[in-house]
Amino acid sequence: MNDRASGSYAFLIEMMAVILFFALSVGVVLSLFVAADKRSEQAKVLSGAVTAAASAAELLRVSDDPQQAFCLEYGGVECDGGYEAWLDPSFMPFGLEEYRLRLACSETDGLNEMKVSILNYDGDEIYSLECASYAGGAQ
Amino acid sequence: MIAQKSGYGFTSTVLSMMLFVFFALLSLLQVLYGARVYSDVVAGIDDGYALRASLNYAMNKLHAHDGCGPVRTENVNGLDVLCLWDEKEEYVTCMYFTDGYLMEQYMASSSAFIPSAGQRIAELADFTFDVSDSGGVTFTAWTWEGTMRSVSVYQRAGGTVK
Repeated sequence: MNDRASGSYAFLIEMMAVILFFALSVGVVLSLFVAADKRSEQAKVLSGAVTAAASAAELLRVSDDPQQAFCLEYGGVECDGGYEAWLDPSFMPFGLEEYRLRLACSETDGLNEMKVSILNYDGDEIYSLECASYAGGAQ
Repeated sequence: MIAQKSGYGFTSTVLSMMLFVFFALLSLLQVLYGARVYSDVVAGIDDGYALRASLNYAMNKLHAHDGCGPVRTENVNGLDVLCLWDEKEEYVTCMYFTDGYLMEQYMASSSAFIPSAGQRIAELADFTFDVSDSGGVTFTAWTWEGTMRSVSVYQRAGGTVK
């Protein structure tokens, strides 16, 4: 009888050890799942930001007055030496305020150099690209 | 004394079984949660692929055609088609959305336009193109997951889209 009782006790201990090991592995695996989910969301946002920045750059490159075109198409306002406009979660203008589209311009010898950036709500840069168009005038 | 011993054995067995069931339940939950996360990640990848493929295709197609001939939007039997004509207007590349796919069809102007004969580019919930007054084209794509992305394209070689 004593042997039987100690056998059950040993099985109980073994099961508890297994569950402890399982709990630890669940912790690790869950953190991996959460990280994968987060990374997937980041990739989605980056992809949207790239598309939005490319679309804005496309407009700015063909405009005679990029700043004015930016303000008209995106509702941009002057901010910190550049222009900023709000974009919604689908990266479209004139909607919810989720992302910021920022335009910084500088003109050198008739070349209008522009930097288009997509920032998150807190102002952290998600993606940026630089483009230029010939403004004419200065030689 | 004998009754006490057998009671202890029964309790021990029940406890072990409970632990085993708990272990099995946790395993099942972990598998289910993992499957859901995996399916979300794969759906996100498919989503991004369809959006990037369709919008980049449309954007690059229009850029490649810049200065190579007229670009017109036409309505063929209720279907909006973006037509990229060659300079002599003998051949045309048609871009349109039908049956859940963005399609492309290259054909002679004398041929009959059959939407299903085109080549599938990307699977989407919807794809539209709007021509702005300034001559640019705005392509908008929707995926089955509900994601929408839009991109505007402007011709640079003096051509306008009508």
